[in-house]
Amino acid sequence: MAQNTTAQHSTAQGAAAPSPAEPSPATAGAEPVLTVRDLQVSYQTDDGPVPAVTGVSLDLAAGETYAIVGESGSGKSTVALALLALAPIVGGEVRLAGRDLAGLSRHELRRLRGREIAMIFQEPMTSLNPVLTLGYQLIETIRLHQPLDRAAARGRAIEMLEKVGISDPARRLAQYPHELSGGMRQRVMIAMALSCNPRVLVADEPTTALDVTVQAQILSLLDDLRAEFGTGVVLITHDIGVVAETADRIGVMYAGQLIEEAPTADLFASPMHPYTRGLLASVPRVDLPPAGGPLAALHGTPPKPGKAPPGCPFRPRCGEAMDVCSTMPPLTRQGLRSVRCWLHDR
Amino acid sequence: MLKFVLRRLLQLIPVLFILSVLVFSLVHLVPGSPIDVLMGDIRDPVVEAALIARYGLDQPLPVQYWRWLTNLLQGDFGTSIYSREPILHMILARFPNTLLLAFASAVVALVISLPAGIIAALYQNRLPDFGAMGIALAGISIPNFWFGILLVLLFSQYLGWLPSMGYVSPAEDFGAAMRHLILPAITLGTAMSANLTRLIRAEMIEQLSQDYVRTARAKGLGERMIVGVHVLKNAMIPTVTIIGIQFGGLLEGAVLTEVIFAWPGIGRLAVDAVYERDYALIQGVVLVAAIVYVLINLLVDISYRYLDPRVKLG
Ligand SMILES: Nc1ncnc2c1ncn2[C@@H]1O[C@H](COP(=O)(O)OP(=O)(O)O)[C@@H](O)[C@H]1O
Ligand SMILES: [Mg+2]
Repeated sequence: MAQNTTAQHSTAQGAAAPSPAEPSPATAGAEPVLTVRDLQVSYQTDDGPVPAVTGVSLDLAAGETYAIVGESGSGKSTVALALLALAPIVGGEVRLAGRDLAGLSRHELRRLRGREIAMIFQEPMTSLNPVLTLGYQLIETIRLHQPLDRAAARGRAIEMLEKVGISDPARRLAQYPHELSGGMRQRVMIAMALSCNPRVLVADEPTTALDVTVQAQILSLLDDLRAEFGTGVVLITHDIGVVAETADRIGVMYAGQLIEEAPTADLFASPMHPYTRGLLASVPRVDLPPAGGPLAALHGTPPKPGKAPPGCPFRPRCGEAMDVCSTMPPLTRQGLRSVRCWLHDR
Repeated sequence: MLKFVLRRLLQLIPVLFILSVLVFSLVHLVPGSPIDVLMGDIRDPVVEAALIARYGLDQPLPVQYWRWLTNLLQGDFGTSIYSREPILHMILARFPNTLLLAFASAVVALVISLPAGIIAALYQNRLPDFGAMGIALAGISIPNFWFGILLVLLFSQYLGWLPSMGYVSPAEDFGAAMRHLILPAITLGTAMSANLTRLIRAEMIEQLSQDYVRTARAKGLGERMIVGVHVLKNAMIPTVTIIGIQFGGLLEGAVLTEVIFAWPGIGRLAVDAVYERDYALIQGVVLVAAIVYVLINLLVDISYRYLDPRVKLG
């Protein structure tokens, strides 16, 4: 089908690979606004290190939506926080607009967060401060990064609230989070995140806590704003069905690694990794042609960080496991796609 | 808001009624009577009978209670059997002194425990935390009166910087009044600050792990603003409750402190009244203290509204 590029092996425990994997050239032409190379994140806990992310590489172009999907506990939120240098990165690199986050001081990082890269979270209920007005929280963000006086920042806050579809924005500024519905709160979070016009928006399960109709509204709002501002969006979800319409590309995470990456239509049409096929099996979709390959539903649970068996971490749950799977498969590139599975190592 | 206050004041009525019964029974159940105190060494049954009749102590207890209550409702707290002064007058003369002491102690407690609690939380399980918590533990274990006596020994006996006891009205001589206030306020305030420090620490740690803190970090806010504004405002909500509750405790602690420092507040008035079995005076002091306690709790509830927008009064 296409040329075969075999990436460097990387061990399950996340020792930094000598030369990090090159992700698909989907962003060819435009300089990617965000590049991640062989990211490793490990939390220090009383019970020792927790290697939550052991190998993630991706590129994000301006105006692109890149979805990261995977079961709960696969390390998605950890990747999201690491993109803002808010998680303990122990290897690999994150480059934002060409700048390596590892080389920045705490002060420089603070100036980056909220201005160059912003984030919204799963729980709109608790992500806003319950005892400060929406106006305070919005204006604080705006004035943190932009040289505006109070009145101008207030004007900008009202403008942003209008953009995210909140009625009567001037009055809302005096309200507190508990006076809004979950969907409205998430809109406020989006307004806050985009108020400084960041290059990248990281949305960590932004609709998981909302009911279905509101979910669709929030997703299409995000997509409209992405198109309007040219923001690159990293959209994280455990529900692969959620991103079918809005994502340009999808990266599938399992046990801290990116195990498959493909343009959205390709991934739905022909999932390559048995895990991806399992994920799709749990989302019955009538509007898509049957996927290429048997759709066996997933059984069992993913391994805890650092507790995966040697080799492919999916092996214990995989219906197609082979002897070779006890060694770590390389990330193999095939055109715009890549997959980390011995079935596809040609 | 007004409706809320009125309703709370109405709720006060049954509480005060029950309290009045309790206080009255308790006082009359304690052995000894004011007549013994009044008679002193005199042994004259005729005089004694006359006195008992004069103060109505020969009446059945329900009758005595009823008389006290009806007078009370007309604003008459009775007169002290001993000093013959009107009781309400005595209480009102002493009460501002106790409030001054309690308020100054609360300020001392906050000045100590707010920074100590915040630093302990920020340096959780590190040296500053162990230091602050060690001192707090010591503060809880050391008896208050003993600490007061140590302070007197050091600052007035040994160094001679501060008076060891007594009270000067701030209206007369503000400087002297403050010098007299310092030692009792520190004695009482440190007792309160030990618990408060632990509370503020726990509350700050709890708040620092909340999602909104992560949001604040993600938008690029500095730690100082996060702790000083976002977290502190949330942490103050339970703290204010405890201060309100402890303020009642402060009035209680004031009794001992007032005795040690010869502070003319209602704590000492109460102690003297108990020694003299001055029934009406004891009853009056306890009742007034209870009213103040309830009013302070009302104030705490009202201040909630300003701290926590989620709380609806009414
Ligand atoms: N602050 C933390 N300290 C220790 N372990 C953590 C922390 N945050 C997440 N983890 C662990 O890292 C793994 C990945 O978590 P997370 O990134 O939240 O996954 P996801 O978002 O995909 O559900 C989980 O096993 C989780 O228990
Ligand atoms: Mg998550």
